[in-house]
Amino acid sequence: MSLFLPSLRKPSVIPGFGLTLGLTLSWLGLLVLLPLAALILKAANLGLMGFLASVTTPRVLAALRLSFGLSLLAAAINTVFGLLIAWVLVRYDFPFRRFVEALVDIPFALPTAVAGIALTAIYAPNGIIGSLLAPMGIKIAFTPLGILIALIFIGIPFVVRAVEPVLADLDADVEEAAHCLGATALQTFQRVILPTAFPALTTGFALAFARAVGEYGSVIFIAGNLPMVSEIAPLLIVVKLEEFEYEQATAIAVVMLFVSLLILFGINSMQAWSRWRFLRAEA
Amino acid sequence: MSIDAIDLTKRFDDFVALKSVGLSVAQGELLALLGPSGSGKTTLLRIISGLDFPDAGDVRIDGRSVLHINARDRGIGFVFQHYALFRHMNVFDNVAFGLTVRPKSQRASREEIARQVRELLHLVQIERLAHRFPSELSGGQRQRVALARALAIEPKVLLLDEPFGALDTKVRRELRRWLRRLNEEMGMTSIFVTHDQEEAMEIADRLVVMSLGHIEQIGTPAEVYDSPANPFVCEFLGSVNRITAEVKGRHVSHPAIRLGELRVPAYAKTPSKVYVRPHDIEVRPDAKSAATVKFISTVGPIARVDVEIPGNGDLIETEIPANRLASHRIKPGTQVRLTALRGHIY
Amino acid sequence: MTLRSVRRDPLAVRVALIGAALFFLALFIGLPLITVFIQAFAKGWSAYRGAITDPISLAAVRLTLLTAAIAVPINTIFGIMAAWVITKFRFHGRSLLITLIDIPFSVSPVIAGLIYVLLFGLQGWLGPWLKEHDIKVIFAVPGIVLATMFVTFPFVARELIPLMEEQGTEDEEAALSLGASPLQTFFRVTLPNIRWGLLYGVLLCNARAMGEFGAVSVVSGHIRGHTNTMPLHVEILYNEYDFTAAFAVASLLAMLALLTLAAQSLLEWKLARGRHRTVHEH
Repeated sequence: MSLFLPSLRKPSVIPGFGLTLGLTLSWLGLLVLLPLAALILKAANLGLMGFLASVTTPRVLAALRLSFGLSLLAAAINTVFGLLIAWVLVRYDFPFRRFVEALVDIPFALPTAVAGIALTAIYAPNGIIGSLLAPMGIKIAFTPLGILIALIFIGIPFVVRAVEPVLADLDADVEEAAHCLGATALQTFQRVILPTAFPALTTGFALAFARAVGEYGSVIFIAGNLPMVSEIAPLLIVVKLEEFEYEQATAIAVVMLFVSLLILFGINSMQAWSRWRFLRAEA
Repeated sequence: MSIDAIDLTKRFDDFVALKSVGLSVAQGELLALLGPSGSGKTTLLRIISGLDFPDAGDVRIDGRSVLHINARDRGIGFVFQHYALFRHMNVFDNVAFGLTVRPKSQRASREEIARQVRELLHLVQIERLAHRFPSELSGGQRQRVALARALAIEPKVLLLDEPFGALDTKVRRELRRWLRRLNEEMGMTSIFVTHDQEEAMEIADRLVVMSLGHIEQIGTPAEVYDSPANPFVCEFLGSVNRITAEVKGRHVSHPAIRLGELRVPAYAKTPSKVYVRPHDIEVRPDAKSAATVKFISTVGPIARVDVEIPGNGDLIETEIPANRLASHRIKPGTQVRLTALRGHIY
Repeated sequence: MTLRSVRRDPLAVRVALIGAALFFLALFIGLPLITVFIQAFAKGWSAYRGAITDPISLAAVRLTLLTAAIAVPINTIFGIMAAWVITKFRFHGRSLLITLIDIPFSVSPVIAGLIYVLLFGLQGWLGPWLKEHDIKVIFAVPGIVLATMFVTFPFVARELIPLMEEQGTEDEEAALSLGASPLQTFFRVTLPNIRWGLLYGVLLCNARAMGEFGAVSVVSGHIRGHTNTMPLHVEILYNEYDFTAAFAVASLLAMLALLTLAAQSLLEWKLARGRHRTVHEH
């Protein structure tokens, strides 16, 4: 922790560097890094073979596939609708627009358990929507479809908030230029607006995805929680914990962390590339 | 292709940007809309282009009203003050844009488009920049791209909104001469907006001087400069001295400046303001005169001689060939006699 | 400034897009929100009041408030310190520090709880030592507080960092050159500059602290009346099919969320004004 010597920073007249850095690092270390280290070490206890064996059981693989697969799908759906919502909020005016603007943040502010039971109440066979779809043989609650709905719910604000500033800053000149050159509104959207918004869209997608992968509270009520079918990875971790299979729980956690990191790294690279490609941000 | 703006009025909330403005543009003409900020020149241009619509009045192209036609379909090319280039496309794709968004039936082949683009890039002299992106170009280069892009769709009229406003002086001069040459070679009707009277005077066939939503005067640069219709035009185009003089009958007089040569209109009241340009004043040393030279500054072949006249210590700006300073022995402190050779009384 | 004509999409397009967006939002956000309150009051006002004033519910409320009362101030102080060191100085490892601070944000709440079980649980690293000294962390209040602090750690810092970055160091340098002590500088110069952003961060931090479920669920023993926060209590009631009571308690949390959002909107407006002022003054 004494990696950051005062001599390695630019000299400054502002006080408190040592104190604030020290305290911040200490708190960070104690609260975050130390426990995470415990996690990694516990997983390491298994040894490589044991680790691999734990995480490749059919049940674990099913849970991981479910969590990552549905999260990707939910994030993709949120990207499309998030763009639509941001578009409408930024470019159009309609009654109660400010109210709708605030509404978008609800999934962010609402406790996950509250969302979980509310969504279940709606999509259960006797719920408002569940009862409408039951006669058609469509079941939402207690199936992967229900999980998808919950994951869409919690991801809504991420894309909207990421894209809104970009749309708001769009130069009217550029759109007018495209129009004068003969582009239809659709062509202008596809060839001028969308490329400009693409980096923000990937950011929003990444954030929504990351949130969805680890989501617990909103999902466990509406999911069926049936192993191999509708059991998400975080739930599997909890189950293993309750069975005192600490090492297995840890192994799954490590895999989740690792794969999330990989995917996020990939998305970050794509973000950087798209900023370069579409914005030519650094000339 | 002729353009007529008829009785255009445009309001933005409480602010009236245009008041019953009308003008006619002839085929092949290079017309300047000149005026200070808020004069309505950009609003007028945008209404002609179809990017804005008037509250009253009409816009006609070749005699037919086009108010109900979109900017896209009016056959105009528009060049924006800040270029409005597509940042995520390189120069080539920017210029090709107008050709590639045409409906399939009217779209040329890729090879044909590439040929046209290359021709245009050659015309604006930026062929070697074809694969650069706007962020890698200088202001002058970007504006050339914007011009090429607008020309690519073979518009009937070229409209430019303060096209050189954001550029350095030298680049500005270069590009406006280039625009003039382009207009002469291609014969394309062009209207450009500027607040720079030097620019307008140098390249335009005719100027439209505007102020506060009105047209003050329309004419060739010579007409507008030599025969300004009112004090605003007179003062806006080049520097001018405003001299308060007494009018008696058909004579106008001033204690320190000889105004005898000036024509006095019948309606002139007394006292009147007489507008005289600095270079229309003759400066000769005269020990009996009460006017004294205060400052002299020489720029190239022109010397600016500021002369203080008795009374309230007003400074009269005059311009004389620099070599006269020596030949007439004019220095700060020299007493001089001022004679106005030409002036305007409103 | 009037809307320029080119950007004005035709009415039909606008109506269709607005309609689609509103439908999506009504379905995914509006409906669940309304459902909470409908279900809560399904059996009438007295049932609602009964559920809320039930001693066990009250205990859950108390625990939630206690947790927030500890976690939020601590994370606020460390958040301010972290933002201070990151925005007022340049040093090697600065971006690494920013990334590290963001970790709790990207970690699943379940994992957040798991790591404390691994540290303080009976079979954890410190388990035996804790048992010896008869200190309970996991399945007790301290564990809940810790897990909550982990999850809400970045909120205040994340809010303050961009804000303080934008404000730069000029004001502080001016104050110091005029003879102010570091603490005076902080309280009389920095703090007023960041107060709305700080409040915003604290509100977010608090909302998350009170609403956290996953992390707390793992470390709590789910012991009614003792180690249940409000979200956990909601779960218990729900699993016992006492839906009305579950939604009643949930409605309290929902109202907290709505209040937080309302306060946020107000602060956002104030922040925008402040930023406007800062930009104009410099």
